[in-house]
This record gives sequence, structure tokens and C-alpha cells, in this order.
Amino acid sequence: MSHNNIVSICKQNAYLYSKKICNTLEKYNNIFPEFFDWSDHIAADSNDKYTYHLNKIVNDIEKLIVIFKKIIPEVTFEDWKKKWYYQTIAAAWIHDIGLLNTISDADNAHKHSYYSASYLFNNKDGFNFDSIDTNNKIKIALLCIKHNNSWKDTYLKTKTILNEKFYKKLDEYIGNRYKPTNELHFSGQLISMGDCMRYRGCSLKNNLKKNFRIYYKCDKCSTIYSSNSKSCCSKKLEFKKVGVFHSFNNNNNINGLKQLNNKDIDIYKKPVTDYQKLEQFNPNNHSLQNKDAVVLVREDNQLYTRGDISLSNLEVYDIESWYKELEKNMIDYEIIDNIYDNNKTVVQLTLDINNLDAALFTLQTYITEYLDENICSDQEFSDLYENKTILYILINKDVSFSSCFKKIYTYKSNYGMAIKDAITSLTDNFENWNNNKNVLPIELEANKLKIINLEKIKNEI
Amino acid sequence: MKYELSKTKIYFRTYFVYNEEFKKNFFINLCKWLINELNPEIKELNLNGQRFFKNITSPKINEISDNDINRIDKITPVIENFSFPFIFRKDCLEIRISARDKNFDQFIESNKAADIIINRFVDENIKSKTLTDYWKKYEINLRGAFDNPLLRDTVRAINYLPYGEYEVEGNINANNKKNTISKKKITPPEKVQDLIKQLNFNENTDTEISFLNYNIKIKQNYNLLIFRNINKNQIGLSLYSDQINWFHDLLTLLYNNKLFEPPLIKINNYKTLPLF
Repeated sequence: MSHNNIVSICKQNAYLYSKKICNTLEKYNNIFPEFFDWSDHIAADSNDKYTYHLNKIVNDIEKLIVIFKKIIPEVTFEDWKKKWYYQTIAAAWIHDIGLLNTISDADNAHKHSYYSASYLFNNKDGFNFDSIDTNNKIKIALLCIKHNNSWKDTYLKTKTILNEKFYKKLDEYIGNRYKPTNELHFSGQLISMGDCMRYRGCSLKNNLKKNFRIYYKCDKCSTIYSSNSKSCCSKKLEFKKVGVFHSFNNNNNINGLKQLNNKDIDIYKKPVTDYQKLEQFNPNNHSLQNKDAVVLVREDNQLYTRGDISLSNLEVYDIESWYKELEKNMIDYEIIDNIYDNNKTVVQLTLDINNLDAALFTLQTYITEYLDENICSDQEFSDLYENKTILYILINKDVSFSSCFKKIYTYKSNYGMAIKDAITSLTDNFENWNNNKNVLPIELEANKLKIINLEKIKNEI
Repeated sequence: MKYELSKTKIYFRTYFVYNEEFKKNFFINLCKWLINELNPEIKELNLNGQRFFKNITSPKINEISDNDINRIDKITPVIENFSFPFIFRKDCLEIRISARDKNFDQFIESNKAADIIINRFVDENIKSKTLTDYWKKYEINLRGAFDNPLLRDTVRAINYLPYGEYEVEGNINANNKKNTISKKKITPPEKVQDLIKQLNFNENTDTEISFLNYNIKIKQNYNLLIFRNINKNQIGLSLYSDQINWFHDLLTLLYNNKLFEPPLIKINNYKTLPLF
């Protein structure tokens, strides 16, 4: 069978899944399951239904392939393309279909990739993958499970789905100590990279009228504020985070990255007097067509939600087109050009200045993990390519990451201990990148790029 | 060329496999082991997880709820005034030893102490629970600046070697010019051979050598050595192994050849791992 057929079969099943997931969500009266991403909520309201995300991941993978094609030796790249390209795209279409099984069960949401892979073999719930041969099914199943698992878990979980006679085939792809082949490793990177770029809010903000807002409640008088640095009824201020607010109003003309102007901020500083409305919030009465929906999503000890993750924006560029972009904006990039001659990709991360603590946690866990697993070439792990990445952390034109860092450090919130922990772990990561991973964290200061020296900043505080 | 050992850390990792049902008991027992048995100085633990953070003290271990346990991926012990280099992740225990403020002997001594904890952890938490699948990995990543162009030349020399004699794979030119040569059977250049001899690799066992973008990678079982091109003036050296002895032999060899700079400062009252 031709490889193109694999993709079209998976695509058909993905469309079927998209229909089913919308029906299921209606059935459970739950348009905001917490483990669903904000981008999905917005997509679910449009005509594209849930395929918005699936289309996007496929497009993102195609874009990434263009970038990595420049990095990977030609012979090796062609070899990979023959063996893994169509399987990767096919897996991208169906990697989430297992969500149908976990929609009412948030605790097991992380298992959805496993269910997606098992649909390939058991044709349940109307899905049909009969005409794909087993070898390709194994490849697609591996990639589906990989998208939110380590290679070790991927191997163990795939084994439980497969018939014993295929174990040998599986061992060809993942060898000793759960180490995948170079080609499989690259495909795995592509699929989790594509998926990450989605829930980090890539391009998502362009569809949003305003930024996400986190609300705080005064413990004493129960007034809701949009900032926790205000004085309230009692002298001893005790604010508790109560919700994430977002205006679900699609407007493609407004650039989401634009900071709110001062006038807007003033409006937000006013206390939300209509607290009753907030407390009685019921998702059933607030369809996505309604302009404002306030969703209470935070539990005890929960640092941030998927909504907060969307507060940061992540994009991957190849170095040359990024240089061109900098030249256009008259930014001086001499420092990188002088010291480093081997950088090949750029990860541009834009953090939300209004919610620095949430942005810090996202950076510390998701983004650092993402860089380590997907963008960096790990010489010990894979020989396929060598990549040195620039991590370009952007807040806005006037505020640099270093100066913000102090702000975060002195930030008095309920999560003081957690913030301290996050900063320690971030410093470790930066140090490790410096010595090993070849990630170069840089920031913008006075229209000039500057290398971030976290150790120095930490000492200054 | 000198390597900056004093600016680096050595990572001791133990990977292991456990199943979901086992997870709950494992985490509770681990917390108890950390607080009660590993070291009396450990009074608190930081628990991190999926968008989750909690700080617990000894008496509260039993109060950790099922929901919390499902979300924990990482446990870090906290000791007052000492940053304890010990992180427990979902599938791995990691200890980091910094070479800063130690002389070489003290550094090796700390490494041995870390190895002892790893072994204790394996014996008391993994082997006894019939979790058989585990392995160790030690890792150090060094950076060095050139004063002697020898090694750089060795690496550059690959460009000028007669075609077809070397196993070269990848973009030969770093400036994105594609000049790819497919795999050919080879002998490594003389200087690399010298280097390998010096670095104590046993030639009789299977040794794989590969080159990629100015990188030299030498592999023997689970011992791995990589020279990597970092930037215009620096070459990195990474060592990976599952044997502490091989690791220490190599570090000692580099030390004896005066490859570490600045020289490690001898500190009389350095604080060692507060373990025993």
C-alpha cells in the first residue's frame, strides 16, 4: 500500500474523532474539562471543530521538518523520510483520539495516548484502521504513545498492546536501556515538539481579544481583584487565587502579543463587584458564544493551569530567518554572531509580564523539559544531527528578563517556597545548558541582545 | 587546553522501572526513607509535580493524599543552609556533586560518597522491592579553552583527510554548506589514536569511533567519551559511564596531565555531603 494511504486513513479517523469528541462534550455538559487546552476550547467553537489542533500539529511538523532538513545530513534525512515521514504525519492526526476514553476521567487523562495507540489494533468505537499493515501500525503506535511519555514508558506501554510475535519488531526500534533508534528518536521529537507548540499557546493569542487574567480573592471581605498587590479592607493582606478569566471573543485583527495599554490596566484594577455572578458560574449557562466566561480551575497546591501556560508563547525559527527578523527590527545581535558559529535554531519564548509567577513556573517545568527533550541534540542519545539552540526570552521591549527576575524573586505570594524552588531548579538548568546542552539563553536589553547570566543575577539579589 | 573542572558538576543517576500500582507505596516509603533513614538533618521535603508544589515535614508524611501522590514527579530534600544535591524524579534518582571549593582528592571523595548513597538507595528501595530493572549512569560535561591548538587541529584535520578513508558522516562544513560523505570504513587519524591510547581505552574490546560536525565520539559498552565543538575557542569533553572506577580513572588521568584549570583550590573546612 502506498504511504499516502496511511495518512489519509488516519485523517479520516481523526475527523470521525473530532465529531465524536464534540458530541461527548455536549453529553457530559462539560465544555471546560481542566485537562483540555484553551486552544481546544476556542477551536471547538469554530466550524473546524476539534480538527483545529490536529491541523495545526501537522502544519507545525511540516514547518519543523523544513528547519531540521538544513541541520540533518542529506543522506540521513532522505533515509528518515523514506522510513518515518508518513508514519509521523499519520500519528500526528490520531495521537489524541484516545481522549474519547478519558473525557470523564481527568485523573487518567495522561493515558489518552495509550488508548489512541490501542484503537489502531482493536477498531473499537467505529474507528477503522484495517488497511494499515502491522509494521506501520507499530510505528504509529510508538509515536502516539511517545507524544506525552518517555521512551521507557513508550516501550513498556506499546508492549502491552502488541501481540507477542511482534515483540521482536518492537525491539528493533527501541533497544537496550530503552534507547530508540536515531530515526525513531527524531520522529518522536517532531510529534512532541508539534504538540508542545500548541499548548504553549503558539499563535493562539492572535485569536484572542485580550490576555488571560488571573483573579484573586481577599480572604477577609471576599472581594475579587485582578491583582494581588492592592490594599484591601484589612491591613494584613491575604489574597487567594480564585480563577482564570478569559474573554472568549474571537477577533483576528488584534495582535494578542500587544501589551494592554494603561487605560485597560486601570479598568482591570477595579474590584469585580459582581462576585455573585462569579460564584454561581455554571459552565452550562455560559456557552462559548458568550463574551466573558470566568472559569474556576485552580485547586489547592496547584501552581498554574493550562490557561496560564497559554500566557507564554513559544516559536521555533531557523537561525538565518531569525537574524533577518532582528535586522528588520534594528536589533543588535553582534554578541551571538561573534562568539558562536554553530547555532542552528532559535526558540523564541514570550512571557506575560502581568503574570510573572505563572510564567516562571511554565518556563521552569514545561519549557526547560521541552528544550532538553526536543530541541537539543543529545550527542549521547542520538547521532542524527547536532543542534545548538538559542533560547530567546522576551518580555517586552522595555523590560528585560534579568530585571523581571528580581521582581519575581521578591514577589510575595502564596507560593513563596515554590518560587524559591523554581528559581533554584532554573539556575541548575541554565548551568547544565551552559556546560552540556548548548542552549544559549539570551534576552533583549536596550535594543541589544545580551546573554543571561542567571548566577550573577542570583548573587545580586 | 585546560578544562574548567571547578565550574562543573558530576551527575550520578540511577534509572529504574516500576508500575503504576506500585507507585503509591513507593513514594510514601521513599519519603520516610529520606527523612528517617538517610540523614537526620533532612527535616523537610519539597514535592513537585504536574503544576503542583507542596512542602512537607516529617510528621505529615502520612497525610499525603492519593490525589497528591498521583501528581508527584519530583522529591527534593531540604536541609537548612545547605543545598542538598539530591533529586528524586519519576524514574530516576539524581545526585549532583559540584567541584567548586574542593581540591581534587576531596572531589573524588565526595563522588565516592555519592556512589555509596546510590548503592544504599538501590539496596534498600529497589532491590528489596523486587524491582529488578535498573541501571546507573554517571555523567560529567567539561568545557575547555584553547591555548594549544593541537586538539582543535586534530578535529579540523578530519576535513583534509583523503576521501574514503574515514568514517565520516554529517555536514563537514559547519557553515551550512552541504558536503556530505556517506559511511566509509576507516582508521582514525594518528593524533586521535594517540589520544585514545592516553585516555586508557582498551583497544582489544569493541570501540566505536565516529565523527560528526567536528565532534569525536568514542564508545565502549556503556562508557562513552565525546569531544564536542562548543564555539570558536572552546571544546567540550563529556564522559558518560555506568562504572565509577572507569570514571575516576579518566578524571585522574586528565588531572595528572594537568588538563584542569584553574587548579582546584584546596579548602580545609569544606562541607562534605552530610550523609553518615
